[in-house]
Amino acid sequence: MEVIHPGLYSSIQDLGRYSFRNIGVPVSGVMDEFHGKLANRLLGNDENKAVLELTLQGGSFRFHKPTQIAITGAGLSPLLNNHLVRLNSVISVTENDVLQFGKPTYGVRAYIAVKGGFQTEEVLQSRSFYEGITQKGVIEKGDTLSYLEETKHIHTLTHVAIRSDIFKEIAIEVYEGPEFELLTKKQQQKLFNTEFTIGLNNRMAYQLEETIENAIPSIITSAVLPGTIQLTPSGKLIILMKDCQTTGGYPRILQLSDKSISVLSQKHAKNAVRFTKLSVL
Amino acid sequence: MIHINCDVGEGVGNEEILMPYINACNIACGGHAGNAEIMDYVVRLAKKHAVEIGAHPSYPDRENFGRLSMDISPEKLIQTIQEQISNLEKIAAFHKVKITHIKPHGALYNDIAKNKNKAQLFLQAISKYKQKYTLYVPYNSTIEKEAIQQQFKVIYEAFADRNYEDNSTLVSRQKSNAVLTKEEEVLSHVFTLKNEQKVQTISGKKIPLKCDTFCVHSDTLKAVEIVQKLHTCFNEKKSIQPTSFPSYKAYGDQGILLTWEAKMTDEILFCVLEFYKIIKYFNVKVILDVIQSNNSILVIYNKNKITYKALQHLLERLFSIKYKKIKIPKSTCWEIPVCYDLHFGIDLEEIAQKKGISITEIISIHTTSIYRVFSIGFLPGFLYLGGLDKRLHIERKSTPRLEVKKGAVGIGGMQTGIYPKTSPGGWQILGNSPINFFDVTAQKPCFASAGDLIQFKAISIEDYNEIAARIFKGNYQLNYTKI
Repeated sequence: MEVIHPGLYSSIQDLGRYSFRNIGVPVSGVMDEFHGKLANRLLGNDENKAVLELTLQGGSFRFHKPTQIAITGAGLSPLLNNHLVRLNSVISVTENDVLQFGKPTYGVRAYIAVKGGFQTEEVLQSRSFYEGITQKGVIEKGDTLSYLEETKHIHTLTHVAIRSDIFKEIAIEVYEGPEFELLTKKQQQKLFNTEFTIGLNNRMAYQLEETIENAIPSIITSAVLPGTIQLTPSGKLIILMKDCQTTGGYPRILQLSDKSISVLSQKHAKNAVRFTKLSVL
Repeated sequence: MIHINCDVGEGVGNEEILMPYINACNIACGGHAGNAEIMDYVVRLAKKHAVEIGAHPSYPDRENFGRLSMDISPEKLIQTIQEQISNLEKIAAFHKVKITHIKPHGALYNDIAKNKNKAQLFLQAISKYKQKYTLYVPYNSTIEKEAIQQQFKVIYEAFADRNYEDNSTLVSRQKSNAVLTKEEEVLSHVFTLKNEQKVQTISGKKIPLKCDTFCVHSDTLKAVEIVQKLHTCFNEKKSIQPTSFPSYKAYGDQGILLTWEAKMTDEILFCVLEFYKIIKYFNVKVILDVIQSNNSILVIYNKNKITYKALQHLLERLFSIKYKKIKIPKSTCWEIPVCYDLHFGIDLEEIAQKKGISITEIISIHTTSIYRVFSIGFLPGFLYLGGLDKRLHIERKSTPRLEVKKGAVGIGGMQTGIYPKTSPGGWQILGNSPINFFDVTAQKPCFASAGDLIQFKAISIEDYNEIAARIFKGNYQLNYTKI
């Protein structure tokens, strides 16, 4: 597949690069696992196959050989040869077909899966892009994203209904983080009674605009995870996402559930979120 | 102390969690379940945990899991039992471990407990093993009497997770109260058996029952929790003082964080690394990833396969076993060439001024100390080094640089380190090393490991260029010593 226009921030991702965190390698992987896996499932792929993750503006792509694809996640108005195509369905494409994306209507991240997955370079057991590990951090104009030719087709009536509630959900499920108990009652109340506004965000982290007065000291550098909420000395809340560093020194006060990492990854600046607590034990 | 045995290799897949808690295992050898691959896996596990290995032959009936009585000719029965035991013997021999016992499975176990013909037939089948292996039998059964009469060595077995009838037979699995799944029920059942050599039957009577070994079925719901509870109540060495470290905490719904005292010292690091190596050694598959840091370890587990509580119990158990076989490798001391020329050491003059010491002195102090690698994080291949001389402790730059060059050697606060790639950074820069700290194409992408030592060696700019050229060509070898 040839990249005619790469879009705003598009990268190849699978479910991530595990077991290298001990040498400082981030996990990476699809931000929205729910929709990343769904795209693969629709095609009968293994969930870990590499998909293309698009962010807000999708770009345009030309196919070089026949296959089937599925597009899931954010509504980015996909057009195949200038005809609108459905999300969450199996679409047959052939040589020289052009897939392009239009106006974003809801959500942030969309996924394109191809039968058998994209065959880009595999580094440290994963194809997930991460600059410094893979050659590129994002795809560029003129790149070729190879895939296997596929003529055995699944019925194109295969379709699952879009769950639009995922995109509207403002509740983010969290577990207590390792340093949660260091918070005062007042801080805890504020954490669960505030509707927070999303600020700066990318694949590494989502910042929240509202702050929480904080006097908890830093900790000795220790492991952090995608979905960890750190509280900085200035009272800022930082929600770590898939490309986050492997260790950190800020108190880890909350931890998102897997589902909520997916929900959050479809939100952008100015969107609201509210935390609801889950218990592990 | 009680002796615990488990029927394993039956496809449940929880053997790696059970093994640290049990004394003997009975491995399905193809009759009702199991195959060569599973037997091989379970035998290796049993060997690792020094658990006694038994053959667990059955009627050849995989469809009904060997739990139905079978009409089978005497010749065929003898043949299949001998084949099954021999299957396991071959695998055990390959791994140089001995089989200790035989325990028949399911309907076969029950049939020979009652039926004299079948009991004799079974003993005929295993007669060639009479001198080699013991036989697990239920107390007050036909097979017990026959076996003793024929001078087999017998071990009395009772079931920790099964209810008994008044005639000391097991309550049939056809009935709803056949299996005990609540931990408390199992405990009181075992207490009575152990302390009174009696069992409380379903009618409430207490009848005599001799028992040398207690069986827990690996496919019983909560088998892991039951075995852990039995171990805690009966087999844990009370003499071991519970230590306050590490402390255990849930980290999300699939992480368990082990934290030691909040110090960055060699003593704490060695505790962390010892535990880390034990977890790695046992290689338990429900543990998906282990992330070691300065005074902590984060264990990521498969939440569909084990609960937080059961995993904490398992980790504590693995640590208490402390097998002697785990070799703690020697530390490696790496000699890292650094060029402290002002061309690279862009903050040397500022540090000299702030600290009131000469640049020569800074370099001398920085290259004299030996640093310990505490962990690797922040960036791929970034080493957290401990041991910076107090005279070089200095605040980070008030405004971080947007770009610090790859290989830059810096100090910040009480730490020193090397930037493995060009990135933003706030440390004071002393020099630059031509060495690659992270190479995705290498078999070991980062040559250093936590626990290793680092010493910096001052080199000239000419040496720097020469080493850089050799690294580029791929013919540079880093100097190191084993300590």
